[in-house]
Amino acid sequence: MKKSLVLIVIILLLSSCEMLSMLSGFIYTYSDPDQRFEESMTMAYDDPDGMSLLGTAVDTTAAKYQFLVFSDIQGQTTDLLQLKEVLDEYRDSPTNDINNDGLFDLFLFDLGDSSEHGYLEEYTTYKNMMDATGVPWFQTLGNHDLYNDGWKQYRQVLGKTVFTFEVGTKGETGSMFLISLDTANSSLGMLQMDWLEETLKRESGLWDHIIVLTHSQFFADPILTVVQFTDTEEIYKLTYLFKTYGVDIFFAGHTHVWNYRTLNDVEYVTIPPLEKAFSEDAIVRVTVDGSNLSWEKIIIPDN
Amino acid sequence: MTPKPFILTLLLASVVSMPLFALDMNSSTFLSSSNQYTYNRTLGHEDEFFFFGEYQFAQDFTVGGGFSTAFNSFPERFFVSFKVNNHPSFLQYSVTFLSRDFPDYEIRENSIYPTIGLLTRFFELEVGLGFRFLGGIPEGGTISTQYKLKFFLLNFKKYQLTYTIKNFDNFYAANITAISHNLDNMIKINDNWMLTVGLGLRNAGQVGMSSFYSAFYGSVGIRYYLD
Repeated sequence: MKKSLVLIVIILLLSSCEMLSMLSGFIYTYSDPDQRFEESMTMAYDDPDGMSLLGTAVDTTAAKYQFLVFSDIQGQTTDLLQLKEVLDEYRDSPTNDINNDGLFDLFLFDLGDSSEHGYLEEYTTYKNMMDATGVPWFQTLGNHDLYNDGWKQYRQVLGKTVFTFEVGTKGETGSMFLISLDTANSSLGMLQMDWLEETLKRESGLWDHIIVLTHSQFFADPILTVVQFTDTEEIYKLTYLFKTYGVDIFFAGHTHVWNYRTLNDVEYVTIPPLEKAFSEDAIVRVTVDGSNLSWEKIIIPDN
Repeated sequence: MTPKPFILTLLLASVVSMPLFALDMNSSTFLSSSNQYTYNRTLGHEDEFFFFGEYQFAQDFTVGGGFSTAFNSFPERFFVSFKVNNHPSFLQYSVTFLSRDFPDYEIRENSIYPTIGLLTRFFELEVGLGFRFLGGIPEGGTISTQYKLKFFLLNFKKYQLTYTIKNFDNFYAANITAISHNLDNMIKINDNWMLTVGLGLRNAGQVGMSSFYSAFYGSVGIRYYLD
């Protein structure tokens, strides 16, 4: 009887390893925002493999350009079907000129949760697929990316999670300054908050457009959502900084539900996921036409 | 006596005796003040003074109110609450109106949160909805789930120790992920006076619920029960 009970317990444990793995990642993480910020600041921008993982600037002299923003791939399989679909069919490129206008997606930005479990092979598969596009791409850290000590793998494959980059020339019409924040713990931490405030103060007024991109969103409509920024005072400080220093758009993901609102002339866009059941999947294409900044929500139908 | 029956006897004695020897004051009407030091890992540290009270104007009805200041503005928080008890005896209905000023961020947050509480001798569970609005910002409204679970770890005539998991109280109503863990001590000085000492930790939301506490606080206060 006792042996049967032990065997049953072992079977249950083995079968629930996946759940235990997810739960342990949910409860404990190897790193905190301050530590990751310090490490990020020491990492190089350029990808030594040759692809511009993080160039400090995306060169363009065009008055009009566009780019894609998406979030929450959470790839659990090696084929990453929906990401592949987005890159092959929805990305505007010379081989897929969607509007027949010769205007292509200048770069891609992924708002995090690129992996499901934080495993090395998930990051490697993801990076290979993104590198294959041949265009600059950027990514920031999500909470799933921290599961199972995921930061150790993330920093090895994807590198920096707190950074800025520029499009065009400072002071020129159509120029853009973009800021990527690490909100994988749903809090910035003091070092990153101070850095953000200094960066916004320094760059405010020098660019035609300023965009902030991160994983955790500030606002969510569903009452029972368990995925959002924790500290409302931290949210209020950030909304104040964005208003004060002229941020145009704040992009986030995380909640798997579309949300859009405008506070103090700053647009807060929460993008739905890719590759998740029971959610509307979507991406956003941002278009800059000189001083005009617009974006379009593109729904990805389920296959 | 063998260990198992002894432990069972001890447990039974504590269950039976707890209400007889539990912390008890002369009235339910009181005034309370406390000073709270909070350290937030992103926003820094703050000292805040709280003053609040409750008045039981009928057997089943209690009204409460209070304010706070961290000397950035006055008041930084103020609330009014209404409670109904004894319908039936193990339930409590409450509604709180709270206003919080964030002068550094030019935001005033106004909340209303109705709750229902289950009262037992060993624990209290309170749940409700928080409707939060930002003054002058039409699209700043949110609705959050509010919860509070309090365990009476020790409850003697002159001392009470409770452990509470919560995301709201009279002076704040937070997002569902803002779980805080609190140990509160109530030390009876005499029939009118009580000393309060509290400690608390708050996590950073999902991911790192135990590995990255975003804030902690300590508070010391005094409470006066009116005859």
